Amino acid sequence: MTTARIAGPPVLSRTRRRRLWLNWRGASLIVALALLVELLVQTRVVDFQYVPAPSAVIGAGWRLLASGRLLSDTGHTLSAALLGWAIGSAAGIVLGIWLGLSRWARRFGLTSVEVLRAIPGIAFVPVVILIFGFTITMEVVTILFVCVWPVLVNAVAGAQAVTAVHDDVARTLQLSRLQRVFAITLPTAVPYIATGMKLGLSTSLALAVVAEMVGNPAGLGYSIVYFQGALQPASMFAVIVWIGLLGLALNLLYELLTGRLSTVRTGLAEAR
Amino acid sequence: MNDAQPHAATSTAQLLFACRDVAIDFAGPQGVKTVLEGVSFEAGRGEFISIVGASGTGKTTLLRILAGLSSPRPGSIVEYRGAPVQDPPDGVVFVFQDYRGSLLPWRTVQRNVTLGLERSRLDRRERERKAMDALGLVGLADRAKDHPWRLSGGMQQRVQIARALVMQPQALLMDEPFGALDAMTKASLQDEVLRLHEVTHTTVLFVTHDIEEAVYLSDRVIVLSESPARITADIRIDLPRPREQVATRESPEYLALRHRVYSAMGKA
Repeated sequence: MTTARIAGPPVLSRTRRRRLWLNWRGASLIVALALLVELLVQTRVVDFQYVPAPSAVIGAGWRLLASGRLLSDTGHTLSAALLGWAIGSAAGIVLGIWLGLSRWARRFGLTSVEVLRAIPGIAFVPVVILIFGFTITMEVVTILFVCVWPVLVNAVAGAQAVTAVHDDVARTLQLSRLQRVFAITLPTAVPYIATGMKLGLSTSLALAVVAEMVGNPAGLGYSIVYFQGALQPASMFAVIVWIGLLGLALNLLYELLTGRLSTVRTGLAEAR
Repeated sequence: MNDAQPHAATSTAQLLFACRDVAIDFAGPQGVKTVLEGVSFEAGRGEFISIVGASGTGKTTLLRILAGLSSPRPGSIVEYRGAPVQDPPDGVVFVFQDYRGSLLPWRTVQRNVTLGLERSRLDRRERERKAMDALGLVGLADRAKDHPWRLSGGMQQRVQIARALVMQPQALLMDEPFGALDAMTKASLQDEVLRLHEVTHTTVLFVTHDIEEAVYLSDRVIVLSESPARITADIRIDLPRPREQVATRESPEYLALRHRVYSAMGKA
């Protein structure tokens, strides 16, 4: 599914802050493309039975929003995604730090990690359905199983990024093993873990939708399938666009929350 | 040269470090390289000893062995208060040359200083009070809540010294602590270390490649030869204390001692 990237050096540039602002030129292209599609569909240059005009999609979206259905579906999908993401991230942090610190654990564990994370998360959906049935638990389990890997792999890298000098400092000040983990290893790994969690967050929404399309009949994923079956392409597209906006909002929120955390590091990068 | 005679510490009760035949090898691309060979000396309680030598001779390695951060070749004898040094011993704190790299950038100055106290049974308030005392000693009490990267290089090194002092160490092992600082900052930190030495009576082992600095600060200057490093001179610096940047450095005794250290390094 997602390739778990390893975080680069924990240096955040100024462009990161700027990216939070709306890019007007980028937004205008989207509007222009939508207008073009509108034109092509209205003039019947493009004439597929199930390709609705953007105006129809907006109308359908508005009706779904007004009926409350879109919001309750969103609530369901988001709770599954965020819960799976949170549990998966927590497991990824604990396991990743452990693997990063213990050569013994790496020797035994890394092969399993590489094999398991190479399997696309979607492949497990039928298995998870068999075990948990058509429930929200099934969604959460699918999501957490996918979210755990990018966090785990980055946490391993983060735990191993502790500098030689910091290691020596811990030794000369005679810190205990546990103190080293909390005072040095974890803080060093934070920017790496944050990168892994960001990758996991976008994956969690994707997997929630997939799990609802083929498994648990609820939430936004099921709505897409439902409107497909009901031959209502405008509503179907409205849900799809809505999911895109949701993903965007999640990323933005995450950047805002972690941006606060990273001010220390930004300052550090500037001081260097 | 008579200078090669090691000075015995005044009495065994006051002995802090004892090294005999210390050697260490490093495996490199060109095979095994012997960095230290047959290094023997003693350091008494309260002494200020500088270790000088050309860069890359193994001064830092020697200091790391004393701190229990590096292991010498088997057969070497390194003792701290009569017990062999394996892991970092209690009461010995290392001050790193790379002050920026040695501080934790995600912690405030004060919380950097409390780092070494966190395994003690002191409660948080007591730890913070001790940290403030130590920061007061190095003149940084008003920067306690800042992060280290807001501070100048000299201040960052002061924070590292405070972090060591708060442990109330018997011995401070300082590895070229002022090597990366400008001349003015360096001079003021030298005087600060002299003052701290006078107040705390901590034993200081001070690695530097700056001969003037070594003579100005120390009771003894140990000169290391080049590879493999051996002690070629152990020179007692009997300049009166307190020392003063201008007066001490212009005195004929200082100049004579400086000359001796330079000769011992084969530079005069």
